[in-house]
Amino acid sequence: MGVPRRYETIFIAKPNLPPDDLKNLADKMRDIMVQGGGQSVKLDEWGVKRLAYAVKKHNQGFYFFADYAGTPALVKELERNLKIDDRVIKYLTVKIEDAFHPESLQVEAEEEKVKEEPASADNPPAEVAE
Amino acid sequence: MANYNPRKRTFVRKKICRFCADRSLKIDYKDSRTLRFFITERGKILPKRISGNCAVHQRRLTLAIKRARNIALLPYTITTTTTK
Repeated sequence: MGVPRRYETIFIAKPNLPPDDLKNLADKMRDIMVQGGGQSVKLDEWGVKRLAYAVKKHNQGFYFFADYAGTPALVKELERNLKIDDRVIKYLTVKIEDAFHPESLQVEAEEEKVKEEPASADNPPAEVAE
Repeated sequence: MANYNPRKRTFVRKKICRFCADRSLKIDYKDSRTLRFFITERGKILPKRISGNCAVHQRRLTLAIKRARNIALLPYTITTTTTK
């Protein structure tokens, strides 16, 4: 068992998959992360993007982006599954922090709030003006 | 002063590291739009003598570009099909 670290994983699925398959794939990977003891798991879809070079003869790919904290064992397990699943054509895991600090998430959340607040504060007067 | 060459002199421009000048600009391998500024039209990483980046930021930038290449956000090479 290791200490939890913070990771980001991007994986690319084939672009021509039916929506059910994409959902199934996302759920499967989310389950692996959650059941493997992952904390604050976040899975985003970037959608279909053009690839900079052909990967397994595909010029486009459906990007998924996961941000989570977990042990190295979890990453190993996740990458093992990504490798097996032939709907996935490419993946990359990057370590963001050596040790996971829940406080850093709070700081980020507050930063986002600060960004949102001026916008929300500006909106009501604009509506009144209309 | 004997080696003074006015023609070369005109091309010397003061270079500043874009990431030092703008602290809010983060180097992120996911942000391919920013990284694209620092690659040539063939996909090579621009040397810091051209881009003017400082050593610290050039190192981080290089790592980010290499990561972006790995996940197909940036190309390894851009080959133009020309008749040889």
